[in-house]
Amino acid sequence: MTRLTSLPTTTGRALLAGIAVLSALPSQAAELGAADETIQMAMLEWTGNNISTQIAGRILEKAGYKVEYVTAGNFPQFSGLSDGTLDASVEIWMMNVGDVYPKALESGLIENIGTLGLRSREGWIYTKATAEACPGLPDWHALMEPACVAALATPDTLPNGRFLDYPADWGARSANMLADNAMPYTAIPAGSEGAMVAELRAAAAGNTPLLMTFWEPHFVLADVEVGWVDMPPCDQANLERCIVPPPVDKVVWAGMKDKWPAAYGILTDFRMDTDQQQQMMLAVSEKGESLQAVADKWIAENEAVWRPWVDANVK
Amino acid sequence: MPETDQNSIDRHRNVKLQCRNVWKVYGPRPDYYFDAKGYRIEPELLAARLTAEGHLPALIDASFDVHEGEIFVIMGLSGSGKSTLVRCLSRLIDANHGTIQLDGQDLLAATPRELIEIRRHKMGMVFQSFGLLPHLTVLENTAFPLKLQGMGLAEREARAREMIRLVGLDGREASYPSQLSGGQQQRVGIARSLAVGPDLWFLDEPFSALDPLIRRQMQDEFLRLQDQLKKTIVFITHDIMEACRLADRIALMRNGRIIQIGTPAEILLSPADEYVAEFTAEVALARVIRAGDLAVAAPMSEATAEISADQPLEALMSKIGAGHRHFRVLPAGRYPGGYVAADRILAVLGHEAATLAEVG
Amino acid sequence: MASPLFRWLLLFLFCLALVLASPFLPWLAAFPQGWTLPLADVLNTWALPVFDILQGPGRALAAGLDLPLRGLRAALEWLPWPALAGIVVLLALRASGWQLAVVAIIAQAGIVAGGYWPQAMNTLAIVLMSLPPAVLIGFALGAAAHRWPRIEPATVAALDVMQTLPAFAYLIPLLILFGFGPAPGLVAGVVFAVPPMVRNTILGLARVPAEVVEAAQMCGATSGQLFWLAKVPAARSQLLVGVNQTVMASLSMVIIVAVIGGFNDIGWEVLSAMRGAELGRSLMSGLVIVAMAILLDRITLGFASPGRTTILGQKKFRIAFGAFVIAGVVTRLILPEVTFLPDALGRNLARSIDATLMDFVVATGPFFAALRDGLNYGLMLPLRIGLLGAATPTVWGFTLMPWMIAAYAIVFAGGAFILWRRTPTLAIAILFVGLALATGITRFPWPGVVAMALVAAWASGGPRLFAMTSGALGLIIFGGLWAAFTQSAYLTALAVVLCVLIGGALGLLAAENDRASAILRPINDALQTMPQFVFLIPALMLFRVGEFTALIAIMLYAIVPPMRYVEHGLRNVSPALVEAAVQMGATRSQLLWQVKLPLARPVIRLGINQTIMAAISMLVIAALVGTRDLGQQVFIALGKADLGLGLVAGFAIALLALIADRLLRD
Ligand SMILES: Nc1ncnc2c1ncn2[C@@H]1O[C@H](COP(=O)(O)OP(=O)(O)OP(=O)(O)O)[C@@H](O)[C@H]1O
Ligand SMILES: [Mg+2]
Repeated sequence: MTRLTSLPTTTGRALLAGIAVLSALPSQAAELGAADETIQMAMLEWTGNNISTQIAGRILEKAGYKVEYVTAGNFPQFSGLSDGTLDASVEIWMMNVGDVYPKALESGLIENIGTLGLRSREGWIYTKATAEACPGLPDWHALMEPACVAALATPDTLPNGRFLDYPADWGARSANMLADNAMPYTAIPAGSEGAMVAELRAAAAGNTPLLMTFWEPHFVLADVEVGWVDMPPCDQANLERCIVPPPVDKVVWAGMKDKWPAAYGILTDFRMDTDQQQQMMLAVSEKGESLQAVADKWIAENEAVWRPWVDANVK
Repeated sequence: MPETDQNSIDRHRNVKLQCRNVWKVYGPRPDYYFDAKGYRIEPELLAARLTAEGHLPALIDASFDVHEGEIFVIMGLSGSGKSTLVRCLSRLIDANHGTIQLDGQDLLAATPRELIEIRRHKMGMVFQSFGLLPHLTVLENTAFPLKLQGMGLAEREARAREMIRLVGLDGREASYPSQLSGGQQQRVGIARSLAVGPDLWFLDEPFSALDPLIRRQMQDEFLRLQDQLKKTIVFITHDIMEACRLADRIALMRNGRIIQIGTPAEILLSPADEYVAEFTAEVALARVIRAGDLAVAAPMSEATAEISADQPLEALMSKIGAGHRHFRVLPAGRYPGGYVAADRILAVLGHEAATLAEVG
Repeated sequence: MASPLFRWLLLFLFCLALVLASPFLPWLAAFPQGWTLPLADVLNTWALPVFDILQGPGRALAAGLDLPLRGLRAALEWLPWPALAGIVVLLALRASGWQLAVVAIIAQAGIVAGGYWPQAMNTLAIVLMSLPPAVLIGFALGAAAHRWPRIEPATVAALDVMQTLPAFAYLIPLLILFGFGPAPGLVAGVVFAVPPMVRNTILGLARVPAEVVEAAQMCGATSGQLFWLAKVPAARSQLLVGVNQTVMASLSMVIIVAVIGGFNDIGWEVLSAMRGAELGRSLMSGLVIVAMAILLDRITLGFASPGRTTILGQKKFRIAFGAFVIAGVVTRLILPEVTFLPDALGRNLARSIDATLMDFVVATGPFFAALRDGLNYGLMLPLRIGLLGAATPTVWGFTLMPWMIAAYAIVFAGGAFILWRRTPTLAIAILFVGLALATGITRFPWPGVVAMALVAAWASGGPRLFAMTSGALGLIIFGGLWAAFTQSAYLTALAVVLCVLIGGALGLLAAENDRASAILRPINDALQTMPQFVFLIPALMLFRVGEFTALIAIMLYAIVPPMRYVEHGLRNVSPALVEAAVQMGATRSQLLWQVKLPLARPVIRLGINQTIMAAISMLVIAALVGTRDLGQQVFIALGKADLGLGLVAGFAIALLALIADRLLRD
């Protein structure tokens, strides 16, 4: 929970507004375009994305557009974005887009309109029980101690320790890093994000050791206390064998720029503040508030943030 | 089967349905055996060869005539080929060889279109397990063949009601088959087969699925109907008593062959072979053989009593007991009448009957 | 060819030789990567242009489907829920009676209270839309197979593939062809729902009594009249059973294809809850699906049952129906914005379920961890990597001595030798088991597996099955999927054995004890209709990511057939035979073991067959908890948008299921 308060929200908001102003400067005010046609916004499977999407949608509505929210799978969305069935997806985590995204980008049918501005982090996390078994954490050398390896070992991985990796279809960066540093760990692919979340929740609740690869912001980190390993060295240039913070980008249908020029500009300028998003996620998943209510509240309270985006782009 | 045996009675009536050298073979390639033209078939040799080569000759060289207005019963044990024969006659299955003529028209050569016309107007058929359409009511089932012909609703329903009345089911028009007893269902089957007013009526074991009491009742009903309608009938049964009660003539089948054709009395009194004799052994002759069957034309002056030709011998027993020895037989139905002596009757009925007569 | 026994003995010696040789010839244990053919790439280069050509018509079709689908969805969304619910209750009344009507009320109240009414209606819209095409296509195919019996075997084989091919394997082609949105889901629903309609059409038409057909012929029916006026109406109730199964199949597929998204349906809820590992949400949306399945099933089945008597006449039904529609429309016109739906009720319930689960996990964690580790060390590991692999200092804490190997060999060889006289089949089976346990299923030399599969296929299915098996093995071996295949085989085999033992025992219990039967039946129903994703969450929390959890997930689904079929088989043994045995003085256990079980054997065998099919069909879902099997390959292909790999892995799974089915059928 400490992370949430690590950056005071007010500061965050100020920073965000600053970015907004800065980014608003170069963009040109434009026509609304086909404002009577609905803009289809992709809603992916997780709460954070849903919040970003709902807020972006509301801003577009304020600018005079009609918006529809369409549920979409993480991979299938690119098919929709390619042919204009979906028009925009505002929060895509670039570490789990497989080969689908690069292929679609290459075809020129979709366009990446830049970062969402989330403060992202990716790396290896461990539960509290792991810290007890491996004194010396977060330094990665602590993981090399035999006692630590033994505490993390399971029948599948003996004599190595167990490392819970991303699903097999998200690539094998952690496995490569383990091998490059001769760490006695076997990477077990998780199969799905749900599997990782389930295991993390269970390990935290049951106070058992667990070492896994993960990213933030993620809603489960709002409930679960974890530590981040100080990562072993890797070649920053080789993205196959090294973990760097993943970009969180906005991707739109390539025809958007011509069809809805102002909306294209607004979405290009759109940024999301990490701490605000975390708090809204908590409100939805813990306090039981509805997504719509949370998004409406943000719009009502943050006109200073979003109004400049609209004004800068709508003629 | 010698030709002369065939028409011992009813020689004067017209032939309605003629069947010559009909074969039906089940197996991998039955037609292979019949494709040579002009080559004379030796039935026994061919049947043996077919069996040896993995085929099942279900019908072997069947020949007979059915006359107008006659009840022709085909009788045999289960699996003897009765259904196969009647299905060949109605062309529900195609015979492999032979000719079948209806009113002189070659049935086997009829095109599908012609066949449909023949079935719509000339043939009716009743099935052992009724063959009623489960989704139609009694009325709709009966009107079904008329509907197929394209007859209007009012007309066909009127006709169907008439048929339903004929078989005594009035009041049940709106019932579904599943709501009827077996006997009632078969009445619907009969009504349906009669709705088009066919000349030729096939009945394949129509009463076998019914219990004995109902069966008897249905047989009476059937005779009453035939009295009214005078159809030409091919009736299948495996029950010798039923055959004897209903038949003008019986064709006896065994393993696909027709082994004897004749009136019930002929079959009972002069069985063609051991098998037929064994088959008929259980029959109570006194009930089945009628006075007319034994009557001779030569007058007997000493005749002291009279009896109708269609009376069973049973009915004569009391008169013989009372001392009458010679009878004048009055014509009835298909019997021309004549005279009969008690000795002849007792000889036919044998010892058992003789003691019965003494007691009487 | 030698006698079958001798053949199998030879085969065993062959395998033994392979095992002995494999330390020296490493290519025997694992299929060398260099020998594979780029099947997936070839498929990609050939299939993609074809799909590109088909894309035009595909997109046009999707656009054509989209409009009515959106219309239906909008209508279902627009009408206030009480009106729609009332109509469903009416249908229940008309289809069956008061009992079903009460079920309908409770089920719909549950859906509303859980907060899933709009999602349920969206799913219903897709299912209803998929129904007419599935029924029409299925009926036409079935009628064609009935008319030309020659095409029936090919039709049936194609249907089997359509049903066993994992949906995830053809997600990519579907997306290419039909684009993003509800259309691919709709098409997948149709594809999956056609087979039951075809089967029931063939069955229904074949079952029309010969005499009904002959009677119609004798009435002078033309072939068209014969078909439409006699056969089809006479087969009506079987055809309606087909419609019922079509609805159910479509529903189950629509749930899975929801992974594409685009329609905000109930399947999407289940999947995104799975992603967040939120048991409460996923369980509740799963229950919504169960409720929908029950209602759709009972209502369509009610209309299909031949002796249906209804308490609600045609006329009253129409009036009431109209009344509900009008009331709904009027209400909506007066109050256009009100949803009449509760807001937070469902979300709160879901959260409390989650909390309960966490408490349970914490409380029972050590126990389930011990269970998992015990089974892992004692059963799964030796099965997978064999005694030779498991008996090492790190795993079992000791090294395998030569005398241990000798003793092991003597025990199995001796056992086989003793049994050889009385039951040679069993003796040979023991030899094979001994060998497989020594090497482990995944490390058994691949030429041995291939030889065994081909011999078995030839022996029980003749040239056709042999050809099919060769094709499947070729696909697996040269497609580079051998390792994934042995993993799948190992998981499936283990799951099937455990399911048959445990499920069989429970089925036996249920057959002998009415109370047990009454308890097990709803559990079985839920296990079968609940989307499998729901079970993954608790299984993951208790057993962590890995094979063991995959095993549990597979077993939860595959345990239903043995329970059902064993109970069914035992309960349906002819009472006359049971009486005869009792009369002869059989005790209860003699009755069971010597009379009922032998008589129920065909049914139980069918149950085992179904268990295998169910286990194979779960491979893909189980991949979500992290496996290395063919199912995982399907997901990897999905992530890479690799159409070829997806189809190769998908077809490998489908063919495995088909072969297993055919091998065990007779
Ligand atoms: N479609 C068929 N294919 C092969 N053999 C058949 C077929 N139909 C009938 N048979 C055989 O032909 C023989 C005659 O059968 P059929 O049905 O004519 O007997 P049946 O005298 O009517 O017997 P039942 O009194 O039992 O109705 C039997 O041996 C039967 O097995
Ligand atoms: Mg018959």
